[in-house]
Amino acid sequence: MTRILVVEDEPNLRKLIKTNLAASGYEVVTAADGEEGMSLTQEESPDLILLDIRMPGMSGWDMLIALKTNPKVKKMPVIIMTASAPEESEEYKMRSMRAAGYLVKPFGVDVMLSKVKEILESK
Amino acid sequence: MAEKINKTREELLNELEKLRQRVAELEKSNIAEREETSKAFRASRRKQRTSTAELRKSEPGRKQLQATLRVSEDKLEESEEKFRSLITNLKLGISRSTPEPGGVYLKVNPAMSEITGYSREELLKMKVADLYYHHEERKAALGKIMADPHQPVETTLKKKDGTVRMVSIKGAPVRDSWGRIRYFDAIIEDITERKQAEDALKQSEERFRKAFHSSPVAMRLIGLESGRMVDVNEYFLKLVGYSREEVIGHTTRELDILREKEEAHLERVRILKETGRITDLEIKVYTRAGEERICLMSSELLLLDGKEYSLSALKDITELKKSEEALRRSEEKLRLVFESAGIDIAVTNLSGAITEANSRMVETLGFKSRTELAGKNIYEFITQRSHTGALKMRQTLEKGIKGMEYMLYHADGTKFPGEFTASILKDAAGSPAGFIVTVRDITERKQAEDKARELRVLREVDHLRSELMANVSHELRTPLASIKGFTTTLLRSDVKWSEEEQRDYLQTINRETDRLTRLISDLLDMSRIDAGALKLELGTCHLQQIIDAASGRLTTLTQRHQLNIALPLDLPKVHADELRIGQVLTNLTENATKFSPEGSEILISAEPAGDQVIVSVTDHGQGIASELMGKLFDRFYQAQRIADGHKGGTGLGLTICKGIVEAHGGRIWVESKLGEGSKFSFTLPAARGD
Repeated sequence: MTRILVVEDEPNLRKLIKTNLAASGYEVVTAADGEEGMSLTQEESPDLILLDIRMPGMSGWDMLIALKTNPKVKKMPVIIMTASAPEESEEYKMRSMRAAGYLVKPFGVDVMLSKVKEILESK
Repeated sequence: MAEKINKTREELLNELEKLRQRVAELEKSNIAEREETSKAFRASRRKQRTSTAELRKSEPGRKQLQATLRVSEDKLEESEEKFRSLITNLKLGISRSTPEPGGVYLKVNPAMSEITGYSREELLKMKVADLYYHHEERKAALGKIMADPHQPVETTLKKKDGTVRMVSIKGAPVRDSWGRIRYFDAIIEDITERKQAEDALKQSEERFRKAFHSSPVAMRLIGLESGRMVDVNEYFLKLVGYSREEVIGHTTRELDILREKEEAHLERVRILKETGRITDLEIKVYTRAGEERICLMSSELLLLDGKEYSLSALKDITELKKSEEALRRSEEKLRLVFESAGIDIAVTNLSGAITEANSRMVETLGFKSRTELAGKNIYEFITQRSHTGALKMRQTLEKGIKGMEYMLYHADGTKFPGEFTASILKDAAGSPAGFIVTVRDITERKQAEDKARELRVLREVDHLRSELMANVSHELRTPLASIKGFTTTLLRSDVKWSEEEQRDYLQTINRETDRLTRLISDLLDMSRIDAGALKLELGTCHLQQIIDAASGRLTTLTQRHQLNIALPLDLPKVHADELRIGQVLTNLTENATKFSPEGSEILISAEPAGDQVIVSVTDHGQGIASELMGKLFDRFYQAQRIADGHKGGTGLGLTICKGIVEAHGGRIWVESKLGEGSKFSFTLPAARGD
């Protein structure tokens, strides 16, 4: 069974994403911040990570860099969730290159599900 | 003049000598002459007698003879008269005395009485030697006369009144037919005054000679016509480097000492002849070694023995000139530095009065000329124009100032920012004599600095604004993400949601829509406050009414906390917009819940304070660091804090509270202690007459 880690600080959205992914037959693990996300990554070795960028404490960026610099998990696909479109700044683009894909908030569940499916299939 | 006297005297003496000889001749020929005369007379008588007859016959012839006789008698008389008057009126004593050592006067003229003070009778009675100061001097004098009758003998006589006179005696022995000296004839002249004058002259000449030779300046005496040096002193020789032999008898031109043109020399001679002197003429003197010396020359026209001389004193001022020149050059250099330094410089005395200023300073302070600025006090140009200000300035100046910035006054009264430097100027003794003040007009620099600061602020504002935009956009997108997400969840056709699930999702959508609405209204409030367009609906009400009106929201917010409200019974009503103050209370309460632990107390309290009411919201939360308290109400800071802390909300809450409170004429502040909690307070105007 495909396992997906969702890292999102906003409880409503965490619940929203988990509910829909579960309804689509995925096994879902959730974390409320970057630190929790990192430890769950080690413990659960998910097939995909949905990562919110703007979070207190260890932000999505910090976690993305931590993932991509760790040889054990660096091939793990990450979809970042952000409130701003990546083309708004060069820096954003550069950093997002290491992400497998992105979702711009607010996004429809359908868009999310097809993005997840697309990334998992391209693996 | 002396010459003239001399000559006259000489002439007189000669004449007298002639007369004396004639007298002697007359003496000799006297008898013979008389005999002759009487013979002639007798003859003429005879002639007369013999001719009387004839004369009688011829009367005209007799008369002619008588006339001739008269003429000859007149002539004789005239001649004798002349001699008498001469020896009477002359101040020359004439005497005839006997040759023995004591001697007796045989004849004296009246002048002898004048010279000796004795009367003629007294003189004829006394011994000649007694007149001499020393008795034996007569013998000596006679000896000298015998030896050389042409040489006058100088000796001393004692006058009757005891005074001593110098006399010159010219004498001659008169001998009889056997050659024996019968008597001495002598001409005596009182030369005391002349001697004294001669002595005085001798002394003055001596003094001159000494002054000339021992003078500490170079001196030379030149024949004005010949231009030849007659005498020079040691200093002159030292100055020109020649020996006395090389100089005396030569002209300065021959020695090429002055290296000047003929015309210059002639011009000098002309001036000297006309005015008698030349004073402090600067000339160049070339030494034997060819070295140039600068001298001040003063010349005086002198008449010596009827010849014109130029007496010159030369003072070597070469070293003085050199040091003057060096000083002038150094001053010039300093002046050049003073003028060309790219800075405004002034020199003041101790009380601050400007004594010198360069043209830049004159220009900077707005004056037309240096003279216009001179004497003005430097303190006048410093903004602190008051007396105490000037005193303070002086104290500051005395310590020395480096790069202090002051507002300075321009002559036209306008101000400009200036950088001021003052250093103490010390006199030769090392005590303070004034100040050297420099001023730099830093208007442009200030403007540039201001611009840079403005630009920095603008950039910061810009940065914070984009940060705020990012926050606002995030805060807006979060509820939107929920709404969109749950809406699309419900719209999923592949999943059949239970009724409970559907209801849960719809409630979330509803709650997030409210949150979005509040956010939007916060943003609108903020922009109204920014624009000063916040409209209040003021009314008189009790604080309790306001709390009641907001109770629903307050209760919701404090579900996990313990909300206490403590209002004193005598609390006056307030003049306020009920809804807006309710908004302030809920905002403060919401903040309190965000930053304090669940279950802790949140207290809303109030107290009267004069014509105001102070309302406070107190929590027992984490508290706020003191350095952050000042920034709490700053919108930009809030935006940043949100980014770091992320406690939800736009972060505009406190800024909106401040805007609302200030619109009521009140103020808002915070008291806090880290780890103990925070107390936010604001004032409201108490309603009057209620």
